[in-house]
Amino acid sequence: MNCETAQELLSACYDWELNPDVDVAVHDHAKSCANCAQRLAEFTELSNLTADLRQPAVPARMWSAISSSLDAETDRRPGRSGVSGLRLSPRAAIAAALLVGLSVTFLTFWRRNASNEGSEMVATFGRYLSEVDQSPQRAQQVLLTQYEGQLVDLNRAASEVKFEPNVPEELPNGFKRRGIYVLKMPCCTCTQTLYTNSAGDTIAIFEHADEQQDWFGSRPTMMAQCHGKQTCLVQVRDRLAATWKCGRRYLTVVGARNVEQVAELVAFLDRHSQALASDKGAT
Amino acid sequence: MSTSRSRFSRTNATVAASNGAEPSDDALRKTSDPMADVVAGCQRGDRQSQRLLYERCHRRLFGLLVRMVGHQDAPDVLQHVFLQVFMKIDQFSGRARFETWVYRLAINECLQFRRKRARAHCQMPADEPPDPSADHTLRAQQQELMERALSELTPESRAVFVLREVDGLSYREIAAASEIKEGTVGSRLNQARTQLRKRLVELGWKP
Repeated sequence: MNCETAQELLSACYDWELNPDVDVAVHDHAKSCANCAQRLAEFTELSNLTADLRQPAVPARMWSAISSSLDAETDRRPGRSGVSGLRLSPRAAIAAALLVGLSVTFLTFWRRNASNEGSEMVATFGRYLSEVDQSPQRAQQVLLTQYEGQLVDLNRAASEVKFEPNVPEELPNGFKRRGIYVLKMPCCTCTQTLYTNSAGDTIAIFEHADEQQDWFGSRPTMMAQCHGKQTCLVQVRDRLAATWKCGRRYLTVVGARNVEQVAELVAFLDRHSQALASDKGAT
Repeated sequence: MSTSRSRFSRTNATVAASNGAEPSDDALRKTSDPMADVVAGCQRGDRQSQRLLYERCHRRLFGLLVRMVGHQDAPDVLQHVFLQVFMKIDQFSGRARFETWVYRLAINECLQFRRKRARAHCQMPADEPPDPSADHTLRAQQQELMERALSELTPESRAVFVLREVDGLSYREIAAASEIKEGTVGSRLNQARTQLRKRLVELGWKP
């Protein structure tokens, strides 16, 4: 082994990080090369000096300061504690969104809406949302019973709601369409499309004529700009619901895992809507 | 000239343990099960688990941070690092060791902190004001020279050196924490060791 190669490998040799045969080759070289042997000896001197360095003392109240900051994050979202709450705090959500390069801007912090908690829709949706995470089938039955829900094909859905629903066969991250329902809600007749993935996660997408933030009662909401769309985010247990205007109608997603997934869906469904409009224009 | 090597990097933890520092860190590095339970607890938002994780990681992290951003700013950065750890802990996939993931967050925070300071046209202090009550023994002087020489390395070289020589991480762990190739770890260490020794001699250290 020549000296230039050995020099490049000296640290790795010193740190026992080389394959045995290469390690032997460097070692053998150093036996006959004063320069390399000197460097290895100097590495040992540095290690001795480093071993002697003092461990800096952590300030005594450090954990108390961290714990207070964790409490402050949790307090933004009443009734929640722990890390899943932190995930949806504005700062964490912003950090997460920026990390994946999504164009998400948060317009407000979490706030509670003044809402008519006594309304039937709030009550029904409240029952739906309370079940949807643990038992999507039971949750679905709440809506189907209350709103004369029917499982339909795409053509029948379009005929019932008088528009071509934005219901791609697949969503990002392996979600496949399982069924399209038509629901006769007090506000309007809308479509609800269910998607599932191989992990058993379910996403429901409602398409409706008007903005329906009231569905969520007084749950904390946050306004964000996702890919240029003003989006209302709502905390639903460990998942998110989100509503935004897509074309001439509104889409509401229930069951997103996090803000990144919401932003992905906003972008994807927007593109799908534009493709539908473009195909319609072409015909 | 002797070519024998003493495995000082590996014995660092042993020396530290005999000096009364946390003896459990080295054991924790070898067994991942105890951390897995703590991590799972943190992912559920359990405050006790969060406290336990903090207790297990904070000393070594603080040592790295002091050497990366200085004594004055290290406490703030440490607090921010742990908030990041708890906020992003559900993103920990379990493919790497948990401590490696934490180190990566810490190094990124340090580098971002330094960039912000540079943009604000603040000088990162290479030297901190001397403590008038400081120990003036030879050992203390050597420690001071070493800290000073360390502070003059580039942040990237300094991180790699501290992770190796102080915290005893393997090249693979250092590469994962620093988001560089394993080969780059070796070449950065070569460079760091050469520069450190040169600077120590310039500062008056006598081998």
